[in-house]
Amino acid sequence: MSAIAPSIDMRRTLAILMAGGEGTRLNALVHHRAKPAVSFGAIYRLIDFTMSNVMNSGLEKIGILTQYLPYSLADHIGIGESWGMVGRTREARILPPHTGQRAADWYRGTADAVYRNIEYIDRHHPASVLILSGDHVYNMNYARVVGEHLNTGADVTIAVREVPIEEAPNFGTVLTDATGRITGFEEKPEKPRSNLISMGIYVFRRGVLEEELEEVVGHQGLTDFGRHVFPQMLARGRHMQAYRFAGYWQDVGTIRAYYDAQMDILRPDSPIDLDAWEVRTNWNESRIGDRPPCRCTPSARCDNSIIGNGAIIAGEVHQSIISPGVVIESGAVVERSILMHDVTIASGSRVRDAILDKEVTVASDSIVGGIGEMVPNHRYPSHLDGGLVLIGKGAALPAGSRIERNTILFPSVTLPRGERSHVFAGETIGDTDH
Amino acid sequence: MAETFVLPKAVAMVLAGGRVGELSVLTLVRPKAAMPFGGHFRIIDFALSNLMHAGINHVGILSQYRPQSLIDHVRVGESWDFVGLERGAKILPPFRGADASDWYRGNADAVYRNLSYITDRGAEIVVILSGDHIYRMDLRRMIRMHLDNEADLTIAFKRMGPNASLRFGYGTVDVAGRVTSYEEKPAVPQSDLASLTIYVARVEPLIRVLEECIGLGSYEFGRDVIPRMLTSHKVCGYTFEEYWAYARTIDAYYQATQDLILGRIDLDKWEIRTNLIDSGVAAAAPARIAPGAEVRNSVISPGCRIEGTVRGSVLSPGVHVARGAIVEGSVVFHRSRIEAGCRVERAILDKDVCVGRESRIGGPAMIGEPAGAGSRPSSLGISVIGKGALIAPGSIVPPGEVVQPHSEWDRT
Repeated sequence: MSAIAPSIDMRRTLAILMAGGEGTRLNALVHHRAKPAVSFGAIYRLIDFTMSNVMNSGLEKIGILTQYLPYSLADHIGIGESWGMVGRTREARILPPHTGQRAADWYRGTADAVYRNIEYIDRHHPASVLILSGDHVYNMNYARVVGEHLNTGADVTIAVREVPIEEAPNFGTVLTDATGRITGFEEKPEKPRSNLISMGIYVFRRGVLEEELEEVVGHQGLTDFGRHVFPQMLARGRHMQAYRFAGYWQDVGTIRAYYDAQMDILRPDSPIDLDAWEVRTNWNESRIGDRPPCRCTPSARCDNSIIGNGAIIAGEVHQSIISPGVVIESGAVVERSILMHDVTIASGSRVRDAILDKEVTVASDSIVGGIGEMVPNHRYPSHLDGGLVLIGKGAALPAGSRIERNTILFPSVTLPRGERSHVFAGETIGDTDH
Repeated sequence: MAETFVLPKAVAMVLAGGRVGELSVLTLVRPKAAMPFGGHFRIIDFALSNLMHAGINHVGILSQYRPQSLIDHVRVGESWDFVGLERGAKILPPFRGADASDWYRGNADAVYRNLSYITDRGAEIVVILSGDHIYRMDLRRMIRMHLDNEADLTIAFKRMGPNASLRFGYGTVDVAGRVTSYEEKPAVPQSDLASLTIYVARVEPLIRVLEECIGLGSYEFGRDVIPRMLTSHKVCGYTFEEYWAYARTIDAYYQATQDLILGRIDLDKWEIRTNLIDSGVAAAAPARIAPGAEVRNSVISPGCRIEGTVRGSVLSPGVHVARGAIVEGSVVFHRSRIEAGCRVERAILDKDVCVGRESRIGGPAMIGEPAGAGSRPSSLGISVIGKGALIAPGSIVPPGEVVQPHSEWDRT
């Protein structure tokens, strides 16, 4: 990593990671887990990218705000030992919602969540507070953002990047002057005036953060950085600075983006370099580290894929992400798909353009994906319309299943044998409650 | 086991000290117990995992030859759950003291020098076992038999042909399970029961016999302690019938890796645990198989990048096989690089080896070359490349050849 990390400045910076996201558009992938805990790249969870950036930037203390389905996250973070956050001066701490004199009830928004943990921040008396989110795929040395923040003397520095203007309405957009000073901030504008978007990475002077949160959240009862805190800071004349980031950065908040980002890993000129980025994960969680290396049998054919340990490949695998413990029997073919932990594909089955969550079983001679009409999912047209198949954790497909495009099977669905093992294009199988 | 039993206070002593010449350059840098195996494991993981699964919570590891890799690997034993109030794992190197000094003179001497490790923990029984064996054994069965027999010493045996007699001790066991004779490395064995160097002993009689032996200048279990115990104590045999291999020769090691590929060694089912930090797994990305690569019949560790062809091989973390390179029937340790157009066949490459473009290592088996002839340690014609060696582009390493660690090889 860069020579500027770790520094005194980073030791005096406290990181707060917002890991509360539900990520609703990821549909069946987030029924059982928060978005930052979603699997990515065979052995990682999304939050690993941010946690690894924290480690590689020389930060020593991080508080992680959780709220939505926190178990898998809490198990995964542990006490932060996987990211070297354990030691005399280092710590990673899960900060769930809590009741108390100043704070009760659930986190109502990003600014509210940080406000509820002001005492935690105070206790560490950092000079700067770095606020992060846990659901993006990128590699950034935060020491550069903090360094620029200190050099410009800003009250807050926001990391920004350019996106195609048509994507800007999904984000907070930023207007700057020639020196990078922010002159306008609009959260998810219908008609964006800029294609510079906020990456959800903010460095605050601690005093400014506390004053602003006390005013905006404490007095006015508002809750959100993008919608409330930043516009008011601008109006009050606070010095807000933009830090431009030009590297790969992907918000994998949709099924399509989630799938595409993982296919990006497989490209020969991949913008995601897991080695160079030094991405670390927790190998003790779910005992993935207990599994031996992957084994390819004499009948295996395997290329353009990444393969987790403990996988057993006897069939064919092309352009796919194979997580630990996956079994692909002889005579099975998997193409352009993402298979999470312990998925089993029995012989004679073909899986194409599909995302199979953990412990899905596909019995013999089934066809998953790549067949049927190209119609969007009927129930969730905005979630799934590009032709992929999404199968939730633990779902079981009987022998001879046919799963057409743009279909969703909810977690733990067991398809019966016979006619109902044919799921037609655009269908969703499972309870509507989610 | 149908019924449970109370495990008496037990301490294990793992014999991990030695280096053997037969492993050639692979043990110039490490004791054989620290040899990598099965991708990201080390051989001592088998002994430590067996102890963990048996619920033996205090483990002393006797090590004197280049112990650094063992120290890094075992750390405080956390990978095998040996950390806690009433548990611990510790490397026991030779030390100097008021009445004990100098190097270990044999495996019994090593245990004798560390008797306080056993007695301080109040152990009633001690399990002594080699750190260089590849097997999964339910040690509780053996301990159970030891207790049921009220034995002073129980020795694990495995049925082996007489061909192995020059490498093992052989015993005879009567119908009651009592060992009636024992001979170390006999020219003509009296039975087919070879000792696996796995002993369970009551602490008190073992200490007495060890004191007698050391007083007489005898320092080996097989040669000295067991024959002496036979004359004065109750010594029983425990027969182990399952898979067992050891890594004392290049050929045995190579054969064991082939057994792994064939699934005879099932690391998953055996629940073998290792130190993921030492093995490089914790920092590794998943294995990456590039477009156009071919991988068959092989074991591939995290962090490998394969652009060429890999067949019948075991690759440790971080190995890179470049486009157009072929690796066949070989074992490649951590971070070694096989560059474009190479052919590596029937070879063991230690860590950090670089095989330059278009070079060739090994080949089909040779006939009639005896093991140990000259500098060639393998009767199977396995080539052995030492740690950090550099094979110059376009060069040839013949079958059965040995390349020294950190040397440069440029013959053609």
